[in-house]
Amino acid sequence: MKRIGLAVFLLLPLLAHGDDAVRVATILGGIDTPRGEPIPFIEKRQSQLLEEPLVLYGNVLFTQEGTLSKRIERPFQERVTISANSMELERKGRVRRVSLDKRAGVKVFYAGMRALLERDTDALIELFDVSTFADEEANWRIELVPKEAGLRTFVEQLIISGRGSHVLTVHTDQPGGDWQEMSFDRSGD
Amino acid sequence: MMVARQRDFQSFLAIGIWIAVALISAWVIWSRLVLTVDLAFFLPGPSTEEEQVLMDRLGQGPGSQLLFITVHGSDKTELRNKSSHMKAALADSGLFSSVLNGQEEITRQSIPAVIWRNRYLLDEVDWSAEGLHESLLDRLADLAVLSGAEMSELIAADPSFTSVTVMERLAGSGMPSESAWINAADEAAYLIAESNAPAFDVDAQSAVVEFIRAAALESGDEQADIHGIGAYSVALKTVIRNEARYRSMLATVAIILVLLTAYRRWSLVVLATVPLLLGGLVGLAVVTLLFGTVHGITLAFGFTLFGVAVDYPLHLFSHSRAQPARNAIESIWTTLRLGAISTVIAYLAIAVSGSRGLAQLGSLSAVGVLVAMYATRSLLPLLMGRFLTVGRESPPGGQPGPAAVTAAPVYRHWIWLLALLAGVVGATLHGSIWSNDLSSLTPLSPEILKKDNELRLALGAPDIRHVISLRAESEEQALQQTELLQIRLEQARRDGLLEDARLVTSILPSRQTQQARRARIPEIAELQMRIEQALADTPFRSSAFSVFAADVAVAKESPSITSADFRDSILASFVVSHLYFDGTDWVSLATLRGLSDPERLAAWLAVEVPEATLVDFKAASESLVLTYRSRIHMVLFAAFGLIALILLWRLGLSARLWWVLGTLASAVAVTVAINAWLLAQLSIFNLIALVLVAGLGLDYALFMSRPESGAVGIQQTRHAIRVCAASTLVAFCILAVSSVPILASIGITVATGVLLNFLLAWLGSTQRTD
Repeated sequence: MKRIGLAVFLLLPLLAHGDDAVRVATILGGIDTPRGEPIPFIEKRQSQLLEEPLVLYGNVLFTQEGTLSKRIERPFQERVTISANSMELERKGRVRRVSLDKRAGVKVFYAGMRALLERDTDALIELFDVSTFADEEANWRIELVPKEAGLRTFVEQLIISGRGSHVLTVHTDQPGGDWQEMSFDRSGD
Repeated sequence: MMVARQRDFQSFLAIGIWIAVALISAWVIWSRLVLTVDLAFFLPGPSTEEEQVLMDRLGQGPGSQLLFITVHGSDKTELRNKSSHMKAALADSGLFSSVLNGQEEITRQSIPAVIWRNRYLLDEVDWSAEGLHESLLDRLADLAVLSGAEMSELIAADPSFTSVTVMERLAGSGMPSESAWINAADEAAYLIAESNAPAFDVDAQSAVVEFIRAAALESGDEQADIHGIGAYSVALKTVIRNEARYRSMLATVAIILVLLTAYRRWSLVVLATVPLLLGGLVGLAVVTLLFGTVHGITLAFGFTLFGVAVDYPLHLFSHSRAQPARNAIESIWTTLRLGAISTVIAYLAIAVSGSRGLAQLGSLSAVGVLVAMYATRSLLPLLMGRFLTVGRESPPGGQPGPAAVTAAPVYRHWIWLLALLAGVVGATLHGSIWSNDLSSLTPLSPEILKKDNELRLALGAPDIRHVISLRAESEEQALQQTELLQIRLEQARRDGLLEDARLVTSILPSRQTQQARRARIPEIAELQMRIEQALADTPFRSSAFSVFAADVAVAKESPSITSADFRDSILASFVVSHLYFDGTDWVSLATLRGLSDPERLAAWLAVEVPEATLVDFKAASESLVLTYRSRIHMVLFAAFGLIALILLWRLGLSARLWWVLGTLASAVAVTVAINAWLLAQLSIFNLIALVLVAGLGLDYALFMSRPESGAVGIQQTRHAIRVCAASTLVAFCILAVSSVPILASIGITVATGVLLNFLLAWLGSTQRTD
């Protein structure tokens, strides 16, 4: 499987001048998206309220049912489970359900991640204006800008970058200068 | 010569007086008439707590100002874009207190100023350093998931998220998920807009609906659907106006054809309208002077009711075929007057039936009939004598005078007895004849009412059938009681009696509660010290919460808010629909979601919060309609008793009296039975239509049963009855096929009634000529 993925990525430069939809499909087709398996992450989140970026450690889990679970281990413990319509926040033993309708920023992030992990090119193209970049070293980058003007007031762009079959970082830029970057530690693979 | 001149002078004087009356009436109408379409006009005074709340809230209750808008498209992106565009356009218009499309996010900008300014009086806050530290850690955890400039601004000014808690409580937990806002086939997106204007303010609602249509057109949707009471009011006004115009035109043409066939003279057709026009003008002028504001239904239905008066000129014309009009009117005057006065009594009974709408309707019709009757007597013979003659045929045997009675009626009592029996049996077999549903008094089709209900359920709008009401002497007392109710309902929610309740105290606490909260807010220096302690061991900037400290200092000094503070806010309609002064008491209403067992909740309230009442609007409206109809029945029975007495006085205890009363009763009974089977259930409007049927029936029966002046008299009377029945029948048959259910149902009732009146009177008597 991994060999096929690698072969796909070796072809990426040949597609450099092709249609973005075809290139996105090619990239997504080669990504290793393990379901039901926790993937460790380090996330940096910058806000105008903070002295320096908040650094979070934990792992993410993409279930067979399409649920994205983010478990923060440090500096505090929190679990966020995002499904199609709602977000469940579990903190200090208290669970709070929040409709995604009221959290457009999270909704965009989830929509992008889900389309990525499900290799759903059509969903990505429907929701975002997509640009792709790839080099001969099998490094690639997908830049997603929400098509809906309303959503762009919450998320300016989502940049997913990786190498070969691995997603390495998901970077989100927000209006006002806030940003987040989630890096995945796949060294164990 | 002198006598002729004197007669001419009297004629001109009479014509002049009638013209003056018409002009004065027209001036009164033109200068004073104000029209309304408020449905409450046609409902009686409430007799219970539930009925009182129903009446207060009719057209302005929670949920009544909601408009459900559907925009169309071919995929999700197009739908979302259209929906966003619509939402922005509607929200900026100033016509709506809120617009929802499922894309709402609580941000600093989305929180109404009155909530933001007073947030620390609207909810409990832990002001200790430990409490503030906990809040900061929660916000840090929020930043681990949620971020952006707006989130940062919100956290900086309100780290305890008090405003968010208030807004979440206001929105309730029952808002639908995203899937409910876009249909499964990705062809339609939904928005809910709450208009500032009351649902039955049709002019304001017209502006609202027009604005929505323009916004939809701008977003590329030419066929946006709009549901909700306000939209229905607008559509109804247009449909009823168009229908009324179209049907009256058709009916006029049909009546003209009938009259032309009968009398073969245009001039008579024109003359027939003179008493009607005079009756209409004077009736409307009197109602305008008596009531000031006149309901649209009074106009439409009132003119229908006093349409019985069109029979008066027709009787005169038919009897003028073989004699001068002056003689003809003398020959029919006693019968015509008896019929008209009886009809006036029935209409006056409607006028005292218990609602302002019916008072207007009855007065307009009664005055209209009286004026038309006198115009037929005093004006028409003058006009006919001066300008035309009707005499198409010469009667055999010369010109009979009114006293030359040579024919006696023979009554077939078995016919009305048989019909009465059939009518009573038919009505009894049908079972429940009268509808207690308040919606039967609205001219909306059942399909529209069903669609409205489906949209409300799907989009999580509050249950419009049930509310909990509380009464108190003052606003403060009402709010304190509501706060207690709020605490108790939390228990009811945990017990599974309901999913959610929205109360005015979620954004407007009692003054007592606000004072207690204000007292707990620390002084500014103390607060800053506590913030510094709370910031320890957090990555927040030390200057991050300066706005918070400043806002708290303002809150510490700010006065308590009252319902008046919401007047210019987008939450004004929420406050007004949940807390109002009804003229005697302050009433606080709690709207409910997810009420599974109303009876259980009512029983629970009776024990736990005895001062609160669960109001079931449907039950209240049914009891209201039932009481109302019982009262109308009672008044009408009294009126018919009075009519019977007058008939007894004029006709004596005779076979004619029994025949007239029997024929009338049997026609009404069979009409009720047939209509119950045709229409399933009858409303109060059908009941009023039956009064018209009875008025017409009395007219036919009195004329058919009177002693006649030989064969010519019989011929003239029968001719008149045929023309009267035919013209009324065609007019109401045209109404019976109307697309407006209520108009169609009235048309069916009167058309069947007229047919039965005619058949029973026609077949039930004959004339024996000497």
